[in-house]
Amino acid sequence: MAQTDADRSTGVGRSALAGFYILVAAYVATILWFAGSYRPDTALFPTVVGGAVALGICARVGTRIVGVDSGITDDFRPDVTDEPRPRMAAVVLAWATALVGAIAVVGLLPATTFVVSTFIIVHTRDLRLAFVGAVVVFAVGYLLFQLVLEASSYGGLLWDWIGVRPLV
Amino acid sequence: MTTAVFLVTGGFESELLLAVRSALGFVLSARGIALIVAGTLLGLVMGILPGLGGPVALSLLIPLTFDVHPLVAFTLMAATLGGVNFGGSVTAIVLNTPGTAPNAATLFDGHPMAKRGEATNAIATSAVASGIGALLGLVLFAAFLPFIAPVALSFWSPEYFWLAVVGLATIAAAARGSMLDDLIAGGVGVMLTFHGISTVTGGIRYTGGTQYLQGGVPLVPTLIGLFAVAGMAHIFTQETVATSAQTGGSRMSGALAVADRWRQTLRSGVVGWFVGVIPGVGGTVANFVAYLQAKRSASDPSKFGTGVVDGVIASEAANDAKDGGSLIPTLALGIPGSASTAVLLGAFLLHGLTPGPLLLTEGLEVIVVIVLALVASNLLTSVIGLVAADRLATVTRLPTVLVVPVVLAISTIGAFAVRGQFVDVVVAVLFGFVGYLMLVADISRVALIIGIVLGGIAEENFHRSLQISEGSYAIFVTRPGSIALIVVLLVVVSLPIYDAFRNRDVNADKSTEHDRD
Repeated sequence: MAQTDADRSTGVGRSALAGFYILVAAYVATILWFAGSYRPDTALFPTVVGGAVALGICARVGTRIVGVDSGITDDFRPDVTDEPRPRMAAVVLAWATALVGAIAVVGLLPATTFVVSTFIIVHTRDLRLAFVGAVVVFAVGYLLFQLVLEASSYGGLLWDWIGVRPLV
Repeated sequence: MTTAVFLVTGGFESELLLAVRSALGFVLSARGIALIVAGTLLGLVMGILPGLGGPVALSLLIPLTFDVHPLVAFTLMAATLGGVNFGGSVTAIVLNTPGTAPNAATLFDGHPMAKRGEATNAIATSAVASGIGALLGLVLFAAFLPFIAPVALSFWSPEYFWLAVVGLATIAAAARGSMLDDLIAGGVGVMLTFHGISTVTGGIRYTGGTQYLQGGVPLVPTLIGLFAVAGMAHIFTQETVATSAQTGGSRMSGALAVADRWRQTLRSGVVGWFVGVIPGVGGTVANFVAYLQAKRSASDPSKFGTGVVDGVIASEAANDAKDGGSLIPTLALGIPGSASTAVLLGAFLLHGLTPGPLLLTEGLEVIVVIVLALVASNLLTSVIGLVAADRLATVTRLPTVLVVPVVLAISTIGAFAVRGQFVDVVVAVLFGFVGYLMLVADISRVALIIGIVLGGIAEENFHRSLQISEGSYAIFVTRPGSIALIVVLLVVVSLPIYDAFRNRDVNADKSTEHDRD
């Protein structure tokens, strides 16, 4: 039977739920594991809260096995403005990851300006829009953050390797 | 004892007057006015663009304002909040999509009005109703604060502990999806506060041997990741935010409609305010509750949903009044009343202000500035809405392919700017992944933030109470304030259980009727 939009939506939701709980379970296990190596007063809250969350996860898994409603409904959810489209979201998150890598290499402002304009060109081929995006980011990042707020910037490994101090 | 003397001699009232005088001086200065205008415009844009809204706007503002005076920071943030509320209604009316969750009920009647060619009417109505609702909410806040203040000022470490626990328990009461999921998210938020050096016990925990985590998991990158990065991943599902804006109608008719229905406006404002006072619930629910109340009391309820102006008035007046209500638990008790105020609480911590009863002595001027900035911002949005009603909707024509990368880039710049650490940028993106998972799985990100904000307060005051009582746990159950809060906790915890039983009975009745058929 072909998947409907609702099925896909619920399927994506269940996958996201499973992914979230895998992360949380690993985190809770770490918290409880290391709690044993701390002083009793320091370990009290981590043990109590970690134990409670672990019990919650077990209860959640139990409701899934028994078949109780997982809580993902088709009702109107004001936080969600559209059906989840995991491929589109993955694109954005992949770009965000690439942005982090670019910042590490070439520095904060060059990376953000370059990635924004590249993103727009890749998805629209609109050079004017890419220029607008780059200008906005540069204005906010340099004029507002660095000049007005005197926030520090990040130079990037490339400039350290070359031995050149970047302008921004 | 000192607190009792303070109250008896009317110390709070005189402190309040001094704070009002000082705050007025700041807000009415050139810098104050500039901050209010800038914040309002920013909030308007963030509210108009679906998927952004108050939490994203505030999480982007926090790195911009972390190093400035708290008065400057909170004037800007409060003005932004004021702008967001109205901005979201524009999108609801023109596009049938709420710009922010609390504007959801506005589209029931606002969009049908737009389809009839009365979008300008609807936006003007929204502008005026929002302004009146906000003013009413803030007047009620100011009126109730002197009654709440003495109670809050008598709180001590055991009460702070129970207050934090009550705040965490509201996650259960306010859950919209799975309560268990939201509680687990809150628990994860509490666990995130365990990293670093404990301020009470002095122990170092969960740092992995790194210096980075000795100060704990950084709050600003976490907020930016959960809301801004995750939000951008989610709104990249449509090419543009808008197609063509449908405008038409009369501004004056829209404004006069509110004057004609002043009783409904005030009633909805009061309803919104009271719902806003309930911690954790306010934001999304206030406009629905007021809308339903207006519909039930209308002479012809069947007309609601077809484009009656009363529906827009009820939703918008309540939506703005709720901010005044949610300030009570947020500022006076340290329990967030909505998603935006949860982020605002994080901002308080960053500026060294402890939200809750202590704020009434340490940060009274900041509280007054927030109230005044909200008033000014809401008046300004009413004027902007009336003057530029037909132009505001064109902001929604911004393509998401421009909005998404720009917001992502500014988010990473902001995440770095607070502490100048590259790892903060990595943390922001990592929490973006987590936030996206939570968003799609319908798990409350606000619950996680509540856990982060209140978890540290709960633990710190628990250990401090034990130090005061020299190890005796009786201190948690013998003080009148503590007993009152335990009762509140039991009520809060029993609400979802009561709801579950009631829903089971309703479903049982429905299936009995179905079998009968």
